[in-house]
Amino acid sequence: MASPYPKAPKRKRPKNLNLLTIRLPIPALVSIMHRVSGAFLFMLLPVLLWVLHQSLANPESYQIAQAVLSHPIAKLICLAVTWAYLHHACAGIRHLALDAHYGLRLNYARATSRAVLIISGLLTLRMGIWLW
Amino acid sequence: MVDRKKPAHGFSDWAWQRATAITMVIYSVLLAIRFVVDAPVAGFDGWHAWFAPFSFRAMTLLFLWALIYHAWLGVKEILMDYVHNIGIRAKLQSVFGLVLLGDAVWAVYILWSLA
Ligand code: HEM
Ligand code: HEM
Repeated sequence: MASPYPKAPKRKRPKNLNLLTIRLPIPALVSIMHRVSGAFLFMLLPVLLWVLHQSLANPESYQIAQAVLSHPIAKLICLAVTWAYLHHACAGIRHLALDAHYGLRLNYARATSRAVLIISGLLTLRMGIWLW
Repeated sequence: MVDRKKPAHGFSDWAWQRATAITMVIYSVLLAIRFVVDAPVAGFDGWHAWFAPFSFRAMTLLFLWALIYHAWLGVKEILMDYVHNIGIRAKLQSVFGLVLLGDAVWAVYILWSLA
């Protein structure tokens, strides 16, 4: 199939794709993390349902769920899921505010991005303390 | 193919993504509150009893369905951005769609098979 995209111009343009020297603005960081966390949660959804199922089905399966979850790696995964959910939710709420034209000015956009990172980080920390 | 005669198709996806997002926020806050004011008793019996009330199971199912539909819309959006080959994209969409459909049925089973 023919590419639907216009041919790139032949002329060499300056580009900077070095990940170590690119300075990603905070709103861009929050935005890409929102996408990555959404995809991550989607992939882990069957695992979460499995755990919910095991924990509720009967006393024996509850034991299994508890045994699985008490493993440090399982706890780390739980923490990663928790962080992904909280980051995605906070960034999602910010996204809805932007849709409603709140907080569009650059300095607010930066401040709310930073708030998303800090609030979701603190809530995750709280969950981590409870998990361990 | 996009059917230009069918209006507002993209708008409704956009609106549903937001409606499901708000549903999830509300449920999450209510869940957190319930954990604080009415924490489940430790162990299987307490955990099981915590899920017994019909209203809680109904809300949890609504949450899971909102989550699943939200994830479906989001995953389609991501595929649209990164997978430009229409055939491959259609196949990936069917696979992910079937998985999510399975999740949605499974969620009913989990919550309504509680003895
Ligand atoms: C907002 C996030 C969460 C909150 C507030 C939360 C809170 C709780 C609380 C209070 C209990 C009761 C403990 C007991 O009865 O002994 C519990 C049990 C449980 N949670 Fe969570 N949890 C969260 C997320 C998760 C995640 C992400 C997983 C799995 C990946 C998970 C898996 C379980 C399981 C299997 C049990 C029953 C086993 C047990 O009691 O040790 N939870 N949760
Ligand atoms: C309180 C919970 C949540 C809120 C407030 C929320 C909010 C949002 C919003 C507003 C968008 C639209 C972003 C856009 O139009 O670019 C979005 C996209 C998305 N969400 Fe959520 N969401 C939540 C939970 C979840 C969960 C649990 C999953 C996965 C299972 C998920 C997966 C996705 C995906 C894959 C996208 C597409 C991301 C993209 O296009 O970059 N979300 N979310």
